[in-house]
Amino acid sequence: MSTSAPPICGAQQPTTIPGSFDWPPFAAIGTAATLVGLGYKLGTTLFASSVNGPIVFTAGAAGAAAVFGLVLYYALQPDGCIRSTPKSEPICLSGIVQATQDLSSTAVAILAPFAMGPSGFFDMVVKSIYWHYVTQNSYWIYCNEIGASMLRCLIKSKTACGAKIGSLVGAALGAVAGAILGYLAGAALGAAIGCAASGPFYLLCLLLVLIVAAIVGAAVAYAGAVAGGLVGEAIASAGSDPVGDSWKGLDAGAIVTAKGNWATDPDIGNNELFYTTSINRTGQSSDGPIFTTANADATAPDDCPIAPPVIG
Amino acid sequence: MNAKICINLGLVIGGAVGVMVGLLHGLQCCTPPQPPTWGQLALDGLLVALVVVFFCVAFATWIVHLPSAPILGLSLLIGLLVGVLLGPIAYQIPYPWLALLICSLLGALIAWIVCRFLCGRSRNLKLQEGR
Repeated sequence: MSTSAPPICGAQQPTTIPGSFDWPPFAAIGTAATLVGLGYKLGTTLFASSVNGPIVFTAGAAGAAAVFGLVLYYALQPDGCIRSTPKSEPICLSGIVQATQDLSSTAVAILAPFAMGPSGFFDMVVKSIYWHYVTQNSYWIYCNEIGASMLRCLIKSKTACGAKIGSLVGAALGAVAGAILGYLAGAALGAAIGCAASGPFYLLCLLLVLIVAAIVGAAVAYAGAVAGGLVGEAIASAGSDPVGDSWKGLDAGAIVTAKGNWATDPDIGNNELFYTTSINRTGQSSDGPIFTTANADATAPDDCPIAPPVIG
Repeated sequence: MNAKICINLGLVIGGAVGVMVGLLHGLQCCTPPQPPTWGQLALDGLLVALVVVFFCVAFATWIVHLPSAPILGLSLLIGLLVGVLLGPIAYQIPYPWLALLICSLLGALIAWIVCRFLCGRSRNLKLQEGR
């Protein structure tokens, strides 16, 4: 058993979490700007004879590009789909499950499949020999109601990756259709309201036409992204998901040995398993409903291969 | 408050204002042609910003599950500043893609300053309460 002092719950360090430069939004904006440039070039070629045709087409393309950029932003998140998860080291630890939470949302799965996150997580009251996994380099420590430190173990969604890739393909196809339909909608509105170049509200009237073209372009591209995401989800749902199935069977009091990639949450600063790669349920604790580190220490020896060093 | 939220809002709102008002570059009304005033362009920028704020708040609330009231307040504040300040700038930029890039970066900068100000203020208030 560890001789170190129990971890202090909550904030650990007075400094803020050192965040690395978050480049995906800038990559998404850069991509959107490239698509707008292409749309402008195409618009000036196709509608050279029209006075406002090129800019209305570009507005439709801009709306579609915005949606493609949004989908790309989510696809570029370090969640193990296109980009790998933040690398630390694989660890193994054991304890008692305090709580599980399902993070999946039907609304997100249907309305924005590209934005799907982890399936859920469970908080584990760890044995004292694993305290350093909770405390080392962390900025925040989660504890339960009676102050037992916990490690959060995140469960990867089986379908999220398929949904993201599907959405990316769907958004690309939808963006092409969106630019065309956006142009048609804008041109129809422009013809209907007839923005007069002699009027004082000429620019405002034209801007209204551009906004409508952009909204229609974005809506069509978004529909493509959703359709592609749903197809991707359906494809990804085939096959087995041992970790997800084990996690669904967990409840408070389950004694588990978990393995996974040890990482620090970039927003809150707590250490966590991101993601959990293996869950081995070895029993059920009769203590509780709130568990202590002593309860976890009293469970049978776990099956982690190497005992971690004791921090004294 | 997480600065990422502010920067992302500034990027999106600034980019939208840049591309939409940038598309109006060179267009003038009336005979003889009169260049639009700063106020007209600020109004154009504000209109685009408010439309984008609506979509941003809807997405942040329903999809990302962020609390609606703070996000609405923050988005409106950033949208107001970005729209009014960047509308006239975007009109001067000849290419819409360039206007998008420049205005999104400026929008992110404005939003970051807004968040620095708001966070610093709330931290100072907490310190004063603690004394």
